[in-house]
Amino acid sequence: MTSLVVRDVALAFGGVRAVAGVSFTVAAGERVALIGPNGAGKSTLFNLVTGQLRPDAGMVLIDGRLTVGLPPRAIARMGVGRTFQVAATFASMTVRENVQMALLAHARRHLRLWRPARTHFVAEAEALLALVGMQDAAERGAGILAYGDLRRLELAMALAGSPRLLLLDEPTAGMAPAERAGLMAAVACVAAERDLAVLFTEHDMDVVFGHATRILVLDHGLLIASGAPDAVRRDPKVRAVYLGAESAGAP
Amino acid sequence: MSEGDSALRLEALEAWYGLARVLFGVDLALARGTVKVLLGRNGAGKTSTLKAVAGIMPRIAGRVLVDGRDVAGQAAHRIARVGVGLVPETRRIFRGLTVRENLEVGRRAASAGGGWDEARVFALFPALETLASRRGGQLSGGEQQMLAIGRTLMGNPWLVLLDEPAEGLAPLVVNQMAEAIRALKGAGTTVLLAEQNLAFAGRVADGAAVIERGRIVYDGPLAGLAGRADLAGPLAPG
Amino acid sequence: MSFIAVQALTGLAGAASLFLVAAGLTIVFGVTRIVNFAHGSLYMLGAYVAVTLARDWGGAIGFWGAVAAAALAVGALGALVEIVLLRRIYKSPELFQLLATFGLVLVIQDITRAVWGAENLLGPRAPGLDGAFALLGHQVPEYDLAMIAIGSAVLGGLWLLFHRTRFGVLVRAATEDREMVALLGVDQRLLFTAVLFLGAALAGLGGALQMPRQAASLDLDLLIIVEAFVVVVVGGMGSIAGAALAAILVAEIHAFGIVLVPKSTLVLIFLVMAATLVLRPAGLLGRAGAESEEGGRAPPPILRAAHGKARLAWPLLALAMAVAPVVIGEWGVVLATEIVVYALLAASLHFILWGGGLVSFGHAAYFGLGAYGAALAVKHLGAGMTPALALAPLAATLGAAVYGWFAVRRAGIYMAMLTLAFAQMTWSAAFQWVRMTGGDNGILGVWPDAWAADPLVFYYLALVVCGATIWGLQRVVHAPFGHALRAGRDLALRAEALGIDVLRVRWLAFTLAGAAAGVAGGFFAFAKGSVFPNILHVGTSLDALVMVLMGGVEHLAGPLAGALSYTGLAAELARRTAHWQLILGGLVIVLVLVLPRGLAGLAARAERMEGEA
Repeated sequence: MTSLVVRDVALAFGGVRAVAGVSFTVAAGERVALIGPNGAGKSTLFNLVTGQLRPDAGMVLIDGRLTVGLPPRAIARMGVGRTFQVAATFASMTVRENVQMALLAHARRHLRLWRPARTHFVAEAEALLALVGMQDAAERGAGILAYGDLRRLELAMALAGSPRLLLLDEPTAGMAPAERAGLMAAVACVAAERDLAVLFTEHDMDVVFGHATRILVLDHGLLIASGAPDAVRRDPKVRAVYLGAESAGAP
Repeated sequence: MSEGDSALRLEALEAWYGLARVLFGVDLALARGTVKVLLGRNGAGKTSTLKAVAGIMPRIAGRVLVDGRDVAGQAAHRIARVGVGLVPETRRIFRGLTVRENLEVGRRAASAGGGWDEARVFALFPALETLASRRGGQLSGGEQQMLAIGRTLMGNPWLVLLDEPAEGLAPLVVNQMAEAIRALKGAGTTVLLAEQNLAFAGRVADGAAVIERGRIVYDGPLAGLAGRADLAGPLAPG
Repeated sequence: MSFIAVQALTGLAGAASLFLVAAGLTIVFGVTRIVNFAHGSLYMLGAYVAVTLARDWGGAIGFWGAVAAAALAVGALGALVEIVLLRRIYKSPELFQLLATFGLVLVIQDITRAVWGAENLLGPRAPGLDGAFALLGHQVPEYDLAMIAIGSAVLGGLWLLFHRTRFGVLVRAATEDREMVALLGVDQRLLFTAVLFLGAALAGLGGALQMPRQAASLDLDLLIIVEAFVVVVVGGMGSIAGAALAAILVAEIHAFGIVLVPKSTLVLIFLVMAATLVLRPAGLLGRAGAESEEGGRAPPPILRAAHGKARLAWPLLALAMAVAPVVIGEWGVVLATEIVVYALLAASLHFILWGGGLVSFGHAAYFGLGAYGAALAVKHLGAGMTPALALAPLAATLGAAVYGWFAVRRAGIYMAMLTLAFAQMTWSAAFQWVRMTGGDNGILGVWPDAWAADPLVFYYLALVVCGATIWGLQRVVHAPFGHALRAGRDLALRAEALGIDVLRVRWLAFTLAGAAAGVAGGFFAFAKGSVFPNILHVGTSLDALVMVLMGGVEHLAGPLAGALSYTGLAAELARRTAHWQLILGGLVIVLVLVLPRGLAGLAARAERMEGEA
């Protein structure tokens, strides 16, 4: 089933076309990487899907429903979980409370006034933390976590809304190289288990070629290539604008 | 190379954004009057290295020797006054100021300066002269890049840190950037150029360093990069 | 037709002075990102200095010389403030910046009172411009024309300064991107000091020029700062042209409103401000994005529910308060009642301030609305104590819901300015609407019912109701709603991505805090037996803020400790010295300077150490 459909989406900032008519889809079970040089429009495209930005033209469908014009929180409630380029968690809460907050918001219980928040969804929160390998850190403050742990916590929060579509904006940026593969393996594992559609941007080519099932290459706001990792790696256009024609030794 | 010859020398430079560590001990040296290119993918640490030298990383550790003097931890304006000019990747043009006013902000006489003034900047980038009273926000990407370089030159730096000056520019403008860098070198200015584009780097640089995941993995002549299969990963820019 | 022209001229003359003040405020903010609450105090000082010098020197040269000297002297004071105070707090959380400059307001006011006395100081007329001329059959003061000319000249002069001098270009560049300016080798400290000089001199000039139109008085500082806030919010923070436009708009509303709909000018100005906020959130000529730097600077420590021994703190505190009257005697009981009431006020402010990052500088509005709600019910409806006490939070809730709807739309300093402006408008309304509120004479005879007339009984009543309300607020802090509020404070973007409507949560929290403050206000009215407009005044808001600050922002028990120590301290100071404002203001400044990253930073450090251990 196709979770995300992006059709002819375009957006210009003050006359500069950041995204100039892009179409692609992401189906359940796929892990699609969105790559391209700086300024190619990756972040813009990402924010168009999450609702942070609104396209000038084109449409975005999530599970067949049009999302253009909806605020990010409405899109989130349609089953879209996301992480941010700089890991975004609530620093004044414990790790478990962060996940509980995500669960409460998803269950529309976040306006309740009486029963302490820490008594809601305890088991569910523990299960999500176990999923990302953070169960032992549940009582720690999110503000004092190592960056790699923050990334994992954020992933647990994104998963708390039982998303059908997971959007990860440079999920391994700022992590130590050794941690990167671990995080992406966790994503792959969850995505397979829950039949999720995953769209991610990433600058680490080891991560991209090692973990994506399909790759989209963006340049100057246009999609210049799309396909399996091996095909994209060999694509002369991609080599020219992105992977670098000179680095002929690329494996 | 002894410390005295180095225009810039980084020793075990580390840097963080909040909790995220981006530089893991960068060692790098730059001889006077040369152009060195710092190659690496997005997120490898090029921009952070340049920012750390210029004094605008939130937190750093290690040594930043400019002309033999450790400037690590000093205020950005002091480092600029030592003669270091950063042209940031995002250009950071003052959008509400005219081209001429942007240049004015950068103007600073320096004893060791290359004698840069408005006329010389206009001679280097003739396009700017015709745009002199246009606001920065109304310039194209290429024009903004020229202005950003010109604005930094107005401070007469002898060490220029250029962050991807050719990024996102049309081929013709890229040629002009290459010309400009060669002109700088001709005037005796030392240049550290952060770049992902090996072709562009090859046109202007004397030496190269490759940064990957916050560490220098190669430092030597540009020619030495050819055939280094182990560097193909980091060089595949992104 | 002629009437319109003449009123328009009067309005323009008023706009001139307002523009000078607002332009100074906006220039200083643009570069330093600090909203200088003491800007109005500089205006007031300008007025006092000018009047004194003009009387001393005499004649036309003396008059204009006094104006110039006042502007320069106040400018120098502004530069001194930058060097001594502001420079140390550029990186502090904005609440602390606001509080520090607010401390300055108190200090300057007390010093002004000590030097010039409490009496209004009438200034001389401008020699040669003290007459009036006929325009279309109406008399127009000549000085009004001079004001318009000077205002226009300053606007033109500022334009030249900012576009034709290196200093001006640097200021404009720094307003856009301070870091880039530093990267180009500009020493910002000099720039900032110079900008403070300029901004303060403009305020001083504005005050000095008003001397033939308005007596110098001790309430000028807050009167003008509230108007200046309205002007910069409407005009757009950081925009001088916007300040000019909005100053004209506000002054014309005054000029025409006072004739057409007397006593409703405040409502009109409120509507203009509200409309601007909804239609053009960044102000008429403001640029969006000025707020991007705000908020979330210090990493907040985590909040844990009380456990172990700390669990006993609440019951112990309640017990202590319950047995206190036995120890402290009858006078003490009255003071204790006040402390209980203030503790609730502080707790309600703390709830949004700490729990939601909502910087309210106008919390007095809801406290006062509660008090007036109860008092008006007694006076006009003949209500008994119980229904009047029930009405208090209703009135406050209504006010908080309306004001809050606008206020939560803006973050940080904008919110502080808005909440203050709303509160001062409410204060003015209570002051002016004499038929309803008795104006300055207040509402008297708000006494408890016979069964609660004994101070001891009333104390226990207040303790039970206020205590229960505080306890309820604590429940909410730990409940999902409190977490959602804190989530919005920690990282609004993330909260929205989880599906939380952050604005709605903030609005509900603001309203809830207002309701709680209203409960306190109702009890305050019955404890005092009367209500006066000064309960709505910014001084009350500041009291509440200082209580929260003193007690420690990071601790739920902070407001209680703060109310206790502050009320005690204030009572003691008032008894021993006439200069309590000076001491209080100084105390606020010292609190901010000694802990420049805020108590939050201190607590966060402790937390980090705990985490690493």
